[in-house]
Amino acid sequence: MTPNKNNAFIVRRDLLIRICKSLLDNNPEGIDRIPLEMKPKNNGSWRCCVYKDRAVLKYKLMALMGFKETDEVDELVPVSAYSHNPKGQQNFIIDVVSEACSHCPSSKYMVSNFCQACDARPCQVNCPKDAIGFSTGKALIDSDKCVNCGKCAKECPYQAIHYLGRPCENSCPVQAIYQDEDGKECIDPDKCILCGKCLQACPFGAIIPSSQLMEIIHEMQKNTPLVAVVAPSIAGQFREDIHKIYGSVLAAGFSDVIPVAAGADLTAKYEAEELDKILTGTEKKGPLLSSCCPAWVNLVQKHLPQSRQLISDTPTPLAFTVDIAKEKHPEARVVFIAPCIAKREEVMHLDNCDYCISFEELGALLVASGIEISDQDPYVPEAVASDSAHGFAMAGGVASAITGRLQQACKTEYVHNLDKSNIRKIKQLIKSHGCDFLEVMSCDGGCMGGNLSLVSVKEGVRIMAKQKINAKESKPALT
Amino acid sequence: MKKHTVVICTGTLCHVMGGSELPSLVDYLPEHYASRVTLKGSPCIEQCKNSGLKPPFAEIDGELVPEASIEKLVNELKKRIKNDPE
Repeated sequence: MTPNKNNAFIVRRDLLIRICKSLLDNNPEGIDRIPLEMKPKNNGSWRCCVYKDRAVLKYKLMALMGFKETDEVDELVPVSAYSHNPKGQQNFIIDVVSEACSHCPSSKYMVSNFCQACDARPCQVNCPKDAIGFSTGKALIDSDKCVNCGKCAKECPYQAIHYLGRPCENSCPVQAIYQDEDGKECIDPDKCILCGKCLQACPFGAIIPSSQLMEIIHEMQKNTPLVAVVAPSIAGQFREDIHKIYGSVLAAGFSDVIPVAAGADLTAKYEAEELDKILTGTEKKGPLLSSCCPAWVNLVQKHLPQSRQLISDTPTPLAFTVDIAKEKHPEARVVFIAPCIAKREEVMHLDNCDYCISFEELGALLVASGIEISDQDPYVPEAVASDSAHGFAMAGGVASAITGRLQQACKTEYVHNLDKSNIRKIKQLIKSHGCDFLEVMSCDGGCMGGNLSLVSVKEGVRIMAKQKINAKESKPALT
Repeated sequence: MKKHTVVICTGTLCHVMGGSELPSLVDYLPEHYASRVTLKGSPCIEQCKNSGLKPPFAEIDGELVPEASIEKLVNELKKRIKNDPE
């Protein structure tokens, strides 16, 4: 399932836009009508009936507003009531909405009606576990013996054997999502690295990130000054000049915009110094591992403990930038506008950053506020950053920014898209010391392909290539 | 040779609601079709405000295409070009 090319994410964005509209209009009760408006009577249903559809939407709304289904104590409490506590319960970053989950059957190989019970029976002949028998003119797989190797499916001349899997579980690179005894899909927080693969893979859109948009709208309505620090990948999110995008962020209610690229220059500088020291030193522990992507850092912390000491100590571009933001605007609340859910967790650990919203949520806020980006005045932020700092948005960008600043030759590698096979590749690279610096980004294409971005990686790269970020010749002011 | 005009709504709503790829339509057209299509971007064409139809919106030769996708537009253009007099 291609991310950004299916209905699951459209529904989520629609819900976000509608929540924002209700709150901006000071009409929180309007949230109660959202399921009815999106699923009117006599207009067909997606699940068993329109009432189920509406219940699904209700609990998705609750999750987006920061409440789990289990936080509901009284089913008669309308969903709008949760908007009175814009903070939400703050007890999850992503959650499986059980009402929306289809409780897919367990992952296994199945024989379909296409089976002709042929004489050749290559499925049976090639099965290493003797798991295939025949009955009533059809092959049968003995699930007690089957080890899901897939040989039978490959051999079948009628393509009659198929793998039926749970997309969330199949996409998870660290086996963090599982079905419990009651058939409820759960995310194990001790294993989950917040890569967001399940979020993109679920065909029912049942995995929902909690949103801090309600809180931000609440702050705006209290006239709290809000500073937006924006990830470099924003340049590929809208087909408009980057400075007009910054202008739109201001128009949406922020008092200043500071590009995270400003901090990326500092990360590149200090990480290059760190690497320089390692290269000239005598002790060779292994490659220096990039620290920018929090999902990658989670992977190392939780699943590759022996490599923990290889992660760079240099703070992330975000950590540097929020310090700049707080120093410039001590009275303001700092909001990070991020490409993914993993950054939301990073923000929770940063003293100088208060909130985090995704590109998707920014898009919803702009739409709900009626902001046309093309009509906005361009805004040129004070903080200037080098082109290589803006390049952090793309896979390979960190590695190239660091080698550009290095005093000596070094071998770098970069891996993006943390799926099972890439994790094997990374383990190999670390073990064999196959490079001096290893950049890893969890999402396909780097932050440009962030799991909550508005465009596909391909389109993002295309848009980014046309941006004139540093139109005037500028030097990085901060290094 | 007749040219077909495609107008893509580039308003923020259409972009957010799944229309972000549409302005790259020409890249998805077979080469011999590309020369027969004029692609234009337009500020919000206001369909989101008054119709019950769903975004993203595009127009082919003045005819509205709701829930537009690259696949849908390419298909519609192929149909129209095939029916053109030589």
